[in-house]
Amino acid sequence: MFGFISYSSAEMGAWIHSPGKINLGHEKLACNACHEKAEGSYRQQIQANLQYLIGKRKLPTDIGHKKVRSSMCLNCHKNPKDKHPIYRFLEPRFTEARKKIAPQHCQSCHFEHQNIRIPVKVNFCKHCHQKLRIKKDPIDVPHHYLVKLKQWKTCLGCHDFHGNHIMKTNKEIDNRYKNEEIRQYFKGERQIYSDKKQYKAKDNVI
Amino acid sequence: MSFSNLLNSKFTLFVLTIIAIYLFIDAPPPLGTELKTGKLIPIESALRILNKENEIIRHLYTKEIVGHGKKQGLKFDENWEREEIHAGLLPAQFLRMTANYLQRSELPLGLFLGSNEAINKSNLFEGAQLRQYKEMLTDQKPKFSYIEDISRYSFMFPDVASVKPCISCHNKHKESPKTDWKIGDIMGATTWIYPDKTVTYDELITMISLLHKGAEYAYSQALLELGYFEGDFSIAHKWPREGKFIPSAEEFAKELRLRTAPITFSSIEQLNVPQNSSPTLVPTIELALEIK
Repeated sequence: MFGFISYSSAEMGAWIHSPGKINLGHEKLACNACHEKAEGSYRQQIQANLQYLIGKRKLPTDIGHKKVRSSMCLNCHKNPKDKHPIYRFLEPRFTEARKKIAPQHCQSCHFEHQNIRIPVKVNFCKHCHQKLRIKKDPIDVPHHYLVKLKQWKTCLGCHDFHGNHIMKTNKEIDNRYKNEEIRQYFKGERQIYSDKKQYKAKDNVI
Repeated sequence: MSFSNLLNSKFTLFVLTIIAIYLFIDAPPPLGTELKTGKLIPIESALRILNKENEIIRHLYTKEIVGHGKKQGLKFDENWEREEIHAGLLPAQFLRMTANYLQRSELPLGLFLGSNEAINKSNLFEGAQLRQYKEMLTDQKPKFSYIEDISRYSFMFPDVASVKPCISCHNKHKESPKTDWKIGDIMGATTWIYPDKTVTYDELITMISLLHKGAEYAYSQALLELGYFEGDFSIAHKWPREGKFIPSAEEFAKELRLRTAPITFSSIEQLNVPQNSSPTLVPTIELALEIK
């Protein structure tokens, strides 16, 4: 009985605090899996931030709970074969892309508690792949032609951004996943690529 | 109530006094000191050491594993990550895998590889990085700069073709925009980034140790794929240049330290920093002394 009440109250607490639905796959996570307590007491945290405001400290500090950072996501989502690992976008040449879509952070594309898994536009590939040209292009409508026509919404119709789904890449443009299907996938309503994944979250701790 | 009245109020003064005591006077220990103690090493010097280490590691993988391995019948493929392909990583992918490992650590150290003649057009340099690269092609010197938007120092080093497998593969690749590479050419650039202008001795040692672990991790991934050749090859303490052998993860790690230790040890000595005999460096120092 006591256990049931504790469980119910913890559930209730999470429900009260949570500003929105938990993402697909994260349903079993406890709040503190992402929301870790910040270092020190409130008093130390306030003092550290005051020191920062008067220039006696280089960086501010989190108050209460730590800000959810990409490193927390990567603790569980390790993918050594990631086609677009976030660290690569820290390279100097991605300055413009960083200004527009901040791809160096997981949270720029993957929101939590927003009732939508990936709340970004389907055409984000345009920020980096404008010069795409493949000499021996394997698809029926060459990539450079799609780029020229600004068909950026077609990219995810064949390519899985992180390359974690085990699947054969489609070579016929008409057989691609359509925008509506991609949007549904972004919302977490359906799976479009494949259920088989190379790396499952938390399965691959180094 | 006016502001002066508010200040005159005894109650307000009492509250302000309590807040001041809470915040300043009876202060608890400050939160996590950020001050670096001891002699500090400029980040340029630290990254020069790391880059030299990385060059040696890349040379080891490219020449000893890919170069000699191919002659013995091992396969290496840019699509190595596909389930149906059993082949080792290409040298550029080996670097990426190492960089991926660095990124997952707590240390904000970044490592990248790019070119102006990249096989994959997505890897072409742009903006300030392209300008620096063009300068580098002329004067052959590394380029140090600061990236404002992410508050990181950046140090770009020329990536020189030092072994035959680099040029033969790039010259033969169907998507290669340049097919007349030769030994000694600058084929691209390796860029390192770090947020601080200086590092402590311990931070430098952590960086070196992390790079070693990253390379060992990348090799372990290559080994998972090369393991498919185990019927014809033995995974042992021998190398492809000696026959049908693939070095074990331990053997690769040992050789990596043997090759990097002398130059790294001598570079650290030149920095003239008091060393605390950090446990992470002990194997490196021992190996260096052994070689000396």
